[in-house]
Amino acid sequence: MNDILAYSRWCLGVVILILAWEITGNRGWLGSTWPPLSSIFDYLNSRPNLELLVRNAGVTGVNAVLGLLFGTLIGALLAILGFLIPRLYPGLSTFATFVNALPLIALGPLLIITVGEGATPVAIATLSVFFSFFVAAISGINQTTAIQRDVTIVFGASRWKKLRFVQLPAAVPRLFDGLKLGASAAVLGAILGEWFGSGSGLGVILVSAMQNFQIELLWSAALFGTLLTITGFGFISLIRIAFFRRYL
Amino acid sequence: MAEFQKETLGSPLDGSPPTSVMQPFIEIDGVSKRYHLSRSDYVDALVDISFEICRNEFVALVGPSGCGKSTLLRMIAGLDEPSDGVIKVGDDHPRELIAKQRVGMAMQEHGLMPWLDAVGNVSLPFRLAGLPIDPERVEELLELVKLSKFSNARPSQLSGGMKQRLSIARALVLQPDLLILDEPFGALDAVTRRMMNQELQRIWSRKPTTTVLVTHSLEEAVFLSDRILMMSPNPGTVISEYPVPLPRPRTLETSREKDFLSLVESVTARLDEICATELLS
Amino acid sequence: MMRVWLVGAIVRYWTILILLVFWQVLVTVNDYNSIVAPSPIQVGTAFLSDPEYFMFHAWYTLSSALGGLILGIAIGTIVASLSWATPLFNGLLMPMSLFFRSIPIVAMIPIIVRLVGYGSHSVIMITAILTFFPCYLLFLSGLEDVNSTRKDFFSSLNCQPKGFKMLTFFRYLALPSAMPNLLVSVRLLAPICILVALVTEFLMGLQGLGYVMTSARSTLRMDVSWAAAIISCLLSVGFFLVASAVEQKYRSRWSD
Repeated sequence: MNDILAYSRWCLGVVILILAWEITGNRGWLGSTWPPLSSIFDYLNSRPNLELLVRNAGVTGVNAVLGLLFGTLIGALLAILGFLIPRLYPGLSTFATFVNALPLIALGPLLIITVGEGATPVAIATLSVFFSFFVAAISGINQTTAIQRDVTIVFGASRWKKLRFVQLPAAVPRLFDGLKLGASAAVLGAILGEWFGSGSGLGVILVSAMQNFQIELLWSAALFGTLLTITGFGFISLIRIAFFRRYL
Repeated sequence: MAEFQKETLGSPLDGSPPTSVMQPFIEIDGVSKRYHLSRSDYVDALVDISFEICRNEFVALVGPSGCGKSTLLRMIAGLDEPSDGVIKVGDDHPRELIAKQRVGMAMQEHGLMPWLDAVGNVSLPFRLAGLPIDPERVEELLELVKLSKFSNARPSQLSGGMKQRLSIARALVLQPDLLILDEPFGALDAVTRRMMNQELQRIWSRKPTTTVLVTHSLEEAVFLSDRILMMSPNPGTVISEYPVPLPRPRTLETSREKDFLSLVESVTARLDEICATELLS
Repeated sequence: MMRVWLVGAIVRYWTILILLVFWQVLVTVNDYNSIVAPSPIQVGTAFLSDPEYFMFHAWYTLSSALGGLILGIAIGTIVASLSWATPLFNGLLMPMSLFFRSIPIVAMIPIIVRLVGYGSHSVIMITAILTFFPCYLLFLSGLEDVNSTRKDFFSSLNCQPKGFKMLTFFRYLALPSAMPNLLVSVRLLAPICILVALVTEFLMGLQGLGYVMTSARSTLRMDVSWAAAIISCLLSVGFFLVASAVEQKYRSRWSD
């Protein structure tokens, strides 16, 4: 009974939201920059508009995926390194806190020179993913209890074996959470990177639409960015389900 | 509360059970508790429980794990409803007692507020009841549990035993008609536990209150209570009753005497018997 | 004593030292000129040659971020408290939460910039808007996630979350229980506030370190741009460390 109530409340909320959006847009209560939902759909209805957005979303998507791959890889490697060589751990942990606090946008100027304008979106996406994944990996690996660790010591396992058989399996849920965070971080990083002079991508469209008062385009680009993130979430969830089914 | 004098339930050790002249304060009649796991699946936690508790009587509920003692206790306290049967506290539904803030509770997890100091925690019931805080009463209780020196300490600064003492002070501050104790000393080590039992005994004797205690420790049950009700394993029901005719006040010395130990022994034997049957079945 | 300190610093900060060295080497080896890529020394010089300029903009960014953080948290906690009291409210805001969590911040900011207009108030407003939602979610979950033993104790004294004693319950149990979450949200949102402030300034191009980064690029003063970028990083890290310290200090007051 409670579930049905909660679900219907949720649906009601969605309906009210959509209606409010429509009315606000139509009446112009929030000014010309808040279009009714219907006009956004109208805008997307036209073929060339849609193509423009899909094409650029694709570019951003590719950047994000590459960023996700590299970022996860580097994050995982460093986390494992920090675990296998305990001396390095304090430095790596400080590094993680440090990079987590860095504003990504500040890296833009730094990166366009070092890796070039074309690769900047991927670079920022990589760093963005690395930040969140590294923290999740480190915390995941460290979460096994002292007792579990003691048991492996008594059985004479080497650090590597301990990692492989005890800590990594235990860290898996956190790692997947980290991947999920990484998905949204990747899209965010890719868009941000595109602001630093890349030729195409949703980031470029967002900025130019903003500057040129192309409201429907602006909202549509944001919508596509959201769709990319949601697709990323979905993809990770699918992998997670498949993984758990296979190994558990 | 103040007008009821404590009936001397401890009688000479001639084996005769104490007679309760007063009317029963708590009546439990045919109480059952059933939990539905799904539409057709259910589990009976308690089945057909009936007994009475007199005013100012100290009753202990004991039994193996999972027999439903805590469930029964919660229902007496008014926090839960039986699926079947009736519970009356002073001729009213237990919730009436709660509505008048006449119930005091101390649990295994002390449930103290970490953001308040000792005085704040003991004063909290006043605020919740919408009554003006009586600082003298609060001080009186902190003295009673020997925590006066720690009035401004926070729970995180107190030891396990001290936290439980504070929890008990808090339970008693509004002079409740009914005291509910759910394994208050369960998380303490054996030595502290013995000390706490003596403390509780001392505190209770000053102002006897109708008390229902749930405990795993049979020594504790014998030491503190006037009557022990033993419950069977799931589904729980009351299968044995042991009056505890030992005179009050009871001290740690009492707990080493022959009568005490033999009572503990017979209760333990019965518990073993119940559990053995459970294991074999 | 000095030696111990030095060793300790190296153990903790070796990664950052390596980055600095790497950077200097990269620039020297590739022989970049300062328009393309400045070296650490050039960046330092750019800063030292006109510190007031940087400090002015840094102060603008910091105060906007801080103002937005405070405003966002204030509104977040108030709305969360209202949501706690009336589930209908929460039911309306919840669908928005999925939405908000999926839109990349960088996509939302251009929209909001257009909505609130270009002006000196915009940065604070945008920061507050983006801080509000995570704080709302965290605080609400803290309000609802009350320790069950304490809840039982309150029940035994006739104090329930729904009913005429709601305010008492809120004041003496729900609110204190949610305070740790409030502190956590301050720590988590601190770097985000700086990021949002910087991004907004970058897009609007009026004031602040974000503006410096973009304007310096157009005048080909990469050393200035990098200096602004590095100051932003320091600012963000510093802000985060302060927020963490605040959280650590007050956390013990509210939790076991």
